[in-house]
Amino acid sequence: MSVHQDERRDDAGDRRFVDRFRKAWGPVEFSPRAATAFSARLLARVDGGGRRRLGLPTLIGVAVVAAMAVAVWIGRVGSLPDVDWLASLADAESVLSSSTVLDAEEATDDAGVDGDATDADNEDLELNHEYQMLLAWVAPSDQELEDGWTP
Amino acid sequence: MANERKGAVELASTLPTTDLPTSPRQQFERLVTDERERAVRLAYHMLGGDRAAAEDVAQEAFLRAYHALPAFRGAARLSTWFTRILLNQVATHRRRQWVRDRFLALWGVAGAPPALIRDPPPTTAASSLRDLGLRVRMQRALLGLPQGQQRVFVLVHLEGLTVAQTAEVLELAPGTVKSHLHRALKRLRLELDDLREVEP
Repeated sequence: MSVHQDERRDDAGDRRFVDRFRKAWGPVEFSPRAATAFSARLLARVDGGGRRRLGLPTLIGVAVVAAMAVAVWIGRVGSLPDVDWLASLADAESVLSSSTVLDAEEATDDAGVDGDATDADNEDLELNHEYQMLLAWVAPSDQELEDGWTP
Repeated sequence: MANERKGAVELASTLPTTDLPTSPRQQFERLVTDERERAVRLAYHMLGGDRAAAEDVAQEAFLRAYHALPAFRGAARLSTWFTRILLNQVATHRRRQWVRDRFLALWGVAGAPPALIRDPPPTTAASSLRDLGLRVRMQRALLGLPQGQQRVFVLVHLEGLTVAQTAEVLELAPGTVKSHLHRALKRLRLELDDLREVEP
C-alpha cells in the first residue's frame, strides 16, 4: 500500500473520529433567554464599574496576613507564662534568701564568728545578681515608662 | 453542530465599516450581541464542558474587552481580537483552577467533581450513565491535551474554523496549526478508541 493511500485512510479515519467526537460531545445550548440574561448581567457589571470578585491571590494574601496576626496574638499570650515564671523565680529567690539555714549562717556571720564570706553570703550574692539581671531584663526602662509602657 | 458552523461564519465575517457603532459603549454592546453565544460555546469546549465556568470566563473576557476597547486599533478583526482575549482568559481560569486544586489537595480536601457529573447535559447522547462515563473520559482527554493542541482542535473541529482562520486567531503559522491538529487527533484517537460505542 502506498504512502498516499495510507494518508487518505488516516484522513478518512480522522474525519470519522471527529464526527463521532462531535456527536458524543453534543451541542452547547444557549437559549435566547440565557443570552439576554448573560448580556444583562454583563452590562450590569460594566455599569457597576466592573467590580471583580476576590481572586485567589487576594484571598491567599488576606489569609497570610490573618495568620500573621494570629501568630502575633498567640506570641503575646504565650509570653505571659514567661513573665509569671520570672515572677515566681523572684519569689523563690526571696523565700530562699530568708530560709532558716541562710538566716542561721547570716547570724553567725553577723556575730563575727566567721569573718569571711559564708556560703550563704555567696549564694545570696549570686542569687541577688541573677535577680538583678532578670529585673533589668524584665523591668521597663525609664524611656519605656515615659513612652507609656504598660505590662 | 449548526451553531458551531454559524459561529465560524460569524468569525469569518468582517463588520462593515458603515455599520460600526459610533460610541465605544455601542461598539461593546454590538460585540456582546454578536459574540456572546460563540464566546460561551468556545469557553465551554476549552473548559471541558463546564457550563457555569464557561459563562464566568466569557463574562470576564467581555469585561476585559470593554476596558481594552478604546485601545483597539483594528489591526485584526474585532472578533479575532476578542477571541484572543477569551482564550487568554480561559488559560488564566485553568491556571487558577490548577492552583486551587493543589491548594485543596494540600489540606486533603477533594476538589469539585467534574462539571459533567455535577451538571450533565440533558439533551445529549451522554444522558445514560455509561455514556456519561465516556463523556467524562472525553473531557479528560480534551483537557489533557497540551494547550496549543487543545486550542487548535477546538477551533478547527468543534468551532468549524479553517486552518487559516485558526492560524490568524492564534497568531501561528498554518503549518504549526496543522502539526498541532495532527498530534491532537492522534492522541485523542488513541485515548478514545472506543468512541464509536456512543453512536446510536
